[in-house]
Amino acid sequence: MQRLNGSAIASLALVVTVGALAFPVWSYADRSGTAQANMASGMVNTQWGPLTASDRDLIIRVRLAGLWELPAAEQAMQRSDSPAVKEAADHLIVGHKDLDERVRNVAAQLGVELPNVPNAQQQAWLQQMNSATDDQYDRVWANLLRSAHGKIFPAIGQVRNGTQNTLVRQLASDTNQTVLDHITMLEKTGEVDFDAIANGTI
Amino acid sequence: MRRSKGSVLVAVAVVGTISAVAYPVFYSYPNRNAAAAAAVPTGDTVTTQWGPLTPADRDLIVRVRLAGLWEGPAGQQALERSGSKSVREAADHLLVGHADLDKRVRIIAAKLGVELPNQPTAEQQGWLDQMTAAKTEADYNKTWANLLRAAHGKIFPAIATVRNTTRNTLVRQLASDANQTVLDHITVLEGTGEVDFETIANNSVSGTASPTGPPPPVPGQVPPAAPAAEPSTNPRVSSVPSPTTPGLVPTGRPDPEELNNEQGEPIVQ
Repeated sequence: MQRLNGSAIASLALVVTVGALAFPVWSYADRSGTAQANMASGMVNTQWGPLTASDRDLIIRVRLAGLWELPAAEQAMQRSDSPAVKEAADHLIVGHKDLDERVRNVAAQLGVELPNVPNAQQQAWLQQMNSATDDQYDRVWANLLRSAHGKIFPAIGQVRNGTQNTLVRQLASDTNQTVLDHITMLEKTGEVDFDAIANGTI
Repeated sequence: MRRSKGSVLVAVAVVGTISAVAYPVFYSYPNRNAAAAAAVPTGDTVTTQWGPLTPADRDLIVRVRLAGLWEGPAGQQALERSGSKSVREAADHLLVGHADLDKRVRIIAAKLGVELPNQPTAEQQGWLDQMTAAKTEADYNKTWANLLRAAHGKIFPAIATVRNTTRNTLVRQLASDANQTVLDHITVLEGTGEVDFETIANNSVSGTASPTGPPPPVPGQVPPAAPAAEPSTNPRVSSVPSPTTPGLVPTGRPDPEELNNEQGEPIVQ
């Protein structure tokens, strides 16, 4: 009986030891090398170089930007009295028409399926603009758009740096230039709440 | 007695084993990012007449200065050592671009009271040494272009983050200017044909870069055509789109205003 207990304890200890050794292997999901493996797993080869999940994500996001910012800009042209807001809206319309043409070309060449309607969040932003009173309109409009452009801006930089696909590389350069222009024009309206942007509350 | 000595030994061994395997799980693994966190800029946000100045703002100012301190010499060396037309062209852009940015960053730092380094970092000095040590011209061109492209690629998204979040008007303009210059340099460095994109891609992902995202295209399957996103009305617009010629990044901009004697005050406005 005594001996049996000893064996049981020893076996238990062995099982625990092996389990404990195995645990970190399972839990080190982000150990070095995993990020590269994850990148590779979502990657397909194209004649313009490898196309990763991040590349496709940028393509989709550029398309989505046009889908909600064009109606937003058109609405501002009609609703706002501010010359600076109208000027920003002018840049949004011209810039996103241009980018949309580019992104449709890139997506068609790479075989990436594009959405044709804004996503739920973007529709909610359009709703917020719709329901803003005339007094609030310029502020709501400029801040929602500035916030969205500011969020995508560093993401474009990441893809511009890391992509191995020549079509995506050019798209990222073009998008970087357009988005910086839009950020600058939106800030010129004088309506942007920089504290809220810095705190991430819009 | 003999038996109990053996048990003690076994018990000690078991405890030792357990703590050894537990160590990475409970201590070193959760603290694995401590070194990275320590590198995050520290200090307080201070108030200036151009808006709050955060540690991240000061970090960008210092990094723009440091870029000039090592890329200037690197550009100059390439003009002396490389016979490649495209490398010399890239070196030309680096010299012109960083002379311009350095002027801007010195003016801004003086106004904001930020102390600037006057020497490249040890890491940057190491890159310069690697370039110097390259034996053949082919080796030189490759080392030169890749070290510079990697450094520009790392700062590029960081500039964008500061451009988005800064509340300081001087830093905001510096970030816009740096964005143009760095994208231009990335583009001309890639134009040398020496850049190893796979290495850059592998070094650009970190953490748990997830394999999610939109589905990959299916070979032989053409996705449905996407109609143009266009204004539904026909608004009168007069601006021009930002992207110009592929490979050309507009970096032309008026010279910065000089500082007057009372440092910290712009001459005009």
